[in-house]
Amino acid sequence: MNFINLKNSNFLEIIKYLELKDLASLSITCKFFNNFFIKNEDFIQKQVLYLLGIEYSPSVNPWKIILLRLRNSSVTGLQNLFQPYFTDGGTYCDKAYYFIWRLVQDRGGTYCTHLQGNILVKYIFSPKVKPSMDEDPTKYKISEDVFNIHYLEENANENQSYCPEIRKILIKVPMGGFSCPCETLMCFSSYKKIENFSLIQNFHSCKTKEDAIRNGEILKLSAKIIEENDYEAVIFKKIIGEIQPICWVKINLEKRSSNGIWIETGDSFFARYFYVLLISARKIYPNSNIDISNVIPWSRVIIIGNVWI
Amino acid sequence: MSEITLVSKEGTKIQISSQFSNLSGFIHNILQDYQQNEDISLASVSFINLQMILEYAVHHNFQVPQPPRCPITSPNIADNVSDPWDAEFVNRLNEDQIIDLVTATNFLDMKSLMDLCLAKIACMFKYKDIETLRKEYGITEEFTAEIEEKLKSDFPWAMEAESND
Repeated sequence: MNFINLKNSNFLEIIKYLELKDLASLSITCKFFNNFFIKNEDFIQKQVLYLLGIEYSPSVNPWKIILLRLRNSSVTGLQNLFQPYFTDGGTYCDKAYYFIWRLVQDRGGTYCTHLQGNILVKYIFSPKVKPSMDEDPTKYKISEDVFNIHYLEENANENQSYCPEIRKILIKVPMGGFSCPCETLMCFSSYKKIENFSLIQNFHSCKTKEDAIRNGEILKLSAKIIEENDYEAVIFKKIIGEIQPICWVKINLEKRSSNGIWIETGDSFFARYFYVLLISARKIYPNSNIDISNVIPWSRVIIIGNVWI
Repeated sequence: MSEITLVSKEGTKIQISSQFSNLSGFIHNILQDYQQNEDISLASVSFINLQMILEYAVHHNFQVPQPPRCPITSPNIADNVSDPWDAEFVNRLNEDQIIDLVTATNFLDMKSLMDLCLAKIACMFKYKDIETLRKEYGITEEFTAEIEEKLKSDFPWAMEAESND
């Protein structure tokens, strides 16, 4: 292999172009690469964490341990561990029955917005604390259409050594009794709390898959298109940045089923925050809202730090 | 100043627009203190590589092109660059030529072409399990059986080739 004549700095650049499984293979292909990975351990650790979406910290476990845990963990035991805690789309009539916490309740209920489109709902990895759905949503009202369940975020910070890897997303729109079933939406994620949502704004009013693909191309995202009987989707292969676009979805409201649709996210990627952009609804009446029953990120939880909490 | 004279390691002279300094940090620095008609010696760059480098520079009109996608998402370099010409250019080269060109771009501090070459090398490693890599590069029995077993248990993912599905 003549490549071994390249400089160490060249190999470090080559590593940046590769993904997790490529790195795992390369690391044990031969003595040269094995030694290279050992010699550049810190660099490789940072690069793998970057690919996994995990913020670098000295207390994070070595990358090969995280990869082993990922490989050995079951994908059949996925959990619903995120809680919606913020919306800028309001709540229909300010009623608890229509509030964002319904989005992850698979026993029924529907989130009904007040506004009509491009509504951002933020979720947080919150395995220990769940909101009491008997409360009055106005308790969490910040301004006319903005609600924030602040204590969820405060409690979520106690779980730093665990991190969820989102594998599937369940999306359900109401089958009947609601005038504005959600038709198009997008899902995103991030590891850290994000203040700048300009990337998500790029996808505002993105009502066709061609729009989604074009926007993805501008952002240099590679995309996989899925066309099913009851929905079409663009699954984005995640690139690294503060916010990861996961998928754009358009539901065929004529053919929707009560079981909802399952979107598989593909690559391993860790996230503590999950975002849903409710782009538009099928409107029966003018100036109406958006109704959506569930958007549930299902994840498996991996220990990434040294400390059990 | 419109043109500069570059001299390859064999002593062959080539004239090129001074805009080449947009692509080469080495040339950019030289031009800070450049006397008209002075030759610029490139002691580590062969004539063949210099020709290829200038072909690349002229094609891109001496402007830094879009970098390759990072990480790459396919073993085909054409899927990872925005200009198909870049893929055709680097696909013409064999392994040794790419290494030579990387060495030349190291010398010239020419990041855009170096990135293209390194992305092409990364494509050669993409979606390949260890057995495939070893077969392609003729690597045999480098580790003892004991170490090999330990490495494989530490990196079980390395045993599984990935696809781009």
